[in-house]
Amino acid sequence: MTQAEANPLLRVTRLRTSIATDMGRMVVISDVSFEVGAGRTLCIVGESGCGKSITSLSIMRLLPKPQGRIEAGHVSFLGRDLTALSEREMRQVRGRDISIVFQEPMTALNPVFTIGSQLTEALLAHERCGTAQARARALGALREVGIPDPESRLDAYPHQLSGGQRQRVVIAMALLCRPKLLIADEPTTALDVTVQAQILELFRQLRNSHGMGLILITHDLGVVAEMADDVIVMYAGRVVEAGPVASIFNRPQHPYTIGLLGSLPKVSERQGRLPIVPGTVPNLMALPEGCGFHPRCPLAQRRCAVDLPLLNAVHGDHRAACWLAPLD
Amino acid sequence: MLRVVINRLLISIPVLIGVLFIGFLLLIVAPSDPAAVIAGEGATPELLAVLRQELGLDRPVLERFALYLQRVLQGDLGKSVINKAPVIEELSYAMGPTFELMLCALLVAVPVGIALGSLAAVMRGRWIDRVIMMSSVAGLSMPGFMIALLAIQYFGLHWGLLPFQGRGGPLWTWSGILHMVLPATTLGSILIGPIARMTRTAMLEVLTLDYIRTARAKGLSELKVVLKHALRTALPPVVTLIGLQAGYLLGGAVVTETIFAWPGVGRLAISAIASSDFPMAQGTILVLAVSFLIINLMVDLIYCWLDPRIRL
Ligand SMILES: Nc1ncnc2c1ncn2[C@@H]1O[C@H](COP(=O)(O)OP(=O)(O)O)[C@@H](O)[C@H]1O
Ligand SMILES: [Mg+2]
Repeated sequence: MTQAEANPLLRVTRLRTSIATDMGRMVVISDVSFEVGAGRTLCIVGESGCGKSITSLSIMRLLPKPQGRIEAGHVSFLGRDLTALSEREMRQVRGRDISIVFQEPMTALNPVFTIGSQLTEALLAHERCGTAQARARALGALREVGIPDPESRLDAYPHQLSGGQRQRVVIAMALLCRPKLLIADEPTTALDVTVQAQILELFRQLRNSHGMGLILITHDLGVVAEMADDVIVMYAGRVVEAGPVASIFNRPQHPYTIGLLGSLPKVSERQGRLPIVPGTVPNLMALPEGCGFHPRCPLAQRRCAVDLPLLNAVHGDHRAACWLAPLD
Repeated sequence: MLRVVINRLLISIPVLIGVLFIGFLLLIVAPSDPAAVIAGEGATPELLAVLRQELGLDRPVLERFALYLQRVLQGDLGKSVINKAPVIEELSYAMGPTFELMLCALLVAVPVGIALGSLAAVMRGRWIDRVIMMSSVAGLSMPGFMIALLAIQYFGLHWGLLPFQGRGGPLWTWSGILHMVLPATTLGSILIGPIARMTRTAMLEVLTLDYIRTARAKGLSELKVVLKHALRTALPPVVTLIGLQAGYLLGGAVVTETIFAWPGVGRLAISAIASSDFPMAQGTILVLAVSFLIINLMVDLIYCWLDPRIRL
C-alpha cells in the first residue's frame, strides 16, 4: 500500500450520490472513500442494492440522466479531480483512461450494429488509425478474451452471440484502448467456470504487464480471495469495512462482514453467490438512525441505534465502521 | 426480406380488389347519371337508353364489377366520359407530378420531423422541448388546407416570394424547384408534427437503455451517441408511423394539388368526381390506392433494413 499511497491511480473521497425517484431525492451512497493503486485490485462486495454500481457510475460520471447527481466528494484520477472536469474532458477519460464493464451483458451492446463496428468505434473515439488497422486491433481483442472464430464474429450482430460471448465482447471493448483503470461490475456472472478463469487470468496479466488498476465488483468470495489486494464491504450505501484482503478474511470486524464470510469455506465448493445474511435489505428512503445495520445485527447495543459509527482503523490499513470493533 | 415483400404483395391483392369495388360502388350510388352527362341536356329517353346499354349501365352491379375488373387487369381503364381520352393516358401524365410532390413532401417532413423530435428529446423539459411539442400540437390540429391558404396568402400573394399556381416544369429546372416549394412544404407540414412527436417518444425510451450507456462509456461525443446509437434504434416506430400516416399524405395530396393547381392525380380525381367522369374517377382511386400500398411496402422494407434481427 505504501507505493500506492504516494501516487494512487484513483482516490475516491467522501463521495455522496443521490438519485431522484418518484418519492423524492434519495441518497444512495454516502461518505464512500477508497483508493486503487496502479497494478492493484480492489474488490467491492455487498448485497445487491448497496450501491456498488452507483459508485462505479459516479466515478465514470455516467449516472442515469437526469435523475442521478454527485452531491459531494471527489474522484481524483492521477491527481485530476474528475468531478470538476468538463463533459468534453471527461469524454477523453472514458474508454481511454478508465473503462467500465457493465453488469448486464445481454443489453450492453447496440442490437443494430455489428460487433466489429462497435469495437472499432471504441478505438476510433480515442486513437487515430485506419479502418484496416482498427479491425485488426478489434480482432486481437476478441482473441484475447477467447471468443471462438473471432473473424466471423466481427461481422455478426449481438443477437447472434450467446450471453457469455456478448459479455466477452463487452470486456474486449473495455480493454481495447488499454485503460489505466478498469471497473468491472460483476463481469463474469454470465460466464462458465473455465471462461471465467480465462478472463480473470487476462485481468491479472494486464495488471502485471500494464500496471492496470482494477475495481472488481463481485458476489463471488472465491474470486475476491483469488484476485483482491484490497476489499471494501458496502452496506446501505456506506463502506462498513475496508482493508487488505487477508486481514478482512482472517479478522473481519464488522458483524455484517462476519455474516458474509460466515460460510466462506463452503462457498468455494458451491461456487457460491454471496451468502445470505439474515434480515432484509434496508430501504434507503427510510434508513434507521445510528448504524444502518443495527436492525439486523445480532450484537447490536443501544448506542448502535443512536450514533452512526465511522470507519476507524482496527489494525494497520484495516478499518471498520462498528462500535464493537477494537480500536487500533 | 424477400418473405416480407411477398407477404406484403399477397396482402395487397385483396386490398386492391376491395378498393376497386368501393370506388365502383361509390360512383354507382352517386346521384348523377353518367349517360345523362354524356348525352348532354335535352337528350331523348331513347338516346339515354342506348347510351346506358353501351356503357353497360343496365347490367347487375356484380356483373358490371366483374367486367370492370377484367378490363382493369388487361390495363384498360376505359375512356374519359368528358374528353374521350383513354383514362390510362391521362393518369400517366398526372402520376409523375403527384409522385414528385409526395416525394418532396416526405423529403421535407422526415428530416425536419426527426430533427425536431430528437432535439426535443435531448432537451427534454427545457423551453425548446416545450416550444417544439406545442407547435407540433398546433400543427396537428390545423387542417392542411388552412396551412396551404396561409402559405399562399403570405409567401405567394403578400410577399410575392414564391409561385403558387401549377407546376413549373421538371425538378431539375429552377422554375420547377420554385413551384415545388410551397406545395411540398404545405403537404409535408401535415407529417412534421406526428413524426416529431413519435421521434421524441421513441428517443426518450432508447436514451435510457443500457447500450446507450455503453456508447457513452466508450467516450463517444453526445452528438454521436444521439445521432448514431439512439436515433438508429429509435427510427423503426417512426417509420411505422409514416406508413400509418400514408393515408393522410394521400388525402393531403388531393387537397394540396387542388389548392395549388398542381397537375396531379389528386386534382384529376376531384375534377372527375365533380364532373361525374365515372371511369376517370375510378382510375384515380386505383392509382391512389396503389400509391398507398407502395408507400407501405417501402416502409416495410426500410423497417427490415433498420433492424438486423428481421433482416437476416
Ligand atoms: N435508476 C435508478 N433509479 C432509482 N433508484 C436507483 C437507480 N439505480 C439504482 N438505484 C438505487 O440505488 C441503490 C444502489 O443501487 P446499485 O448501485 O445498483 O446497487 P448494487 O450494489 O446492486 O450495484 C439501490 O437501492 C437502487 O434501488
Ligand atoms: Mg449492481
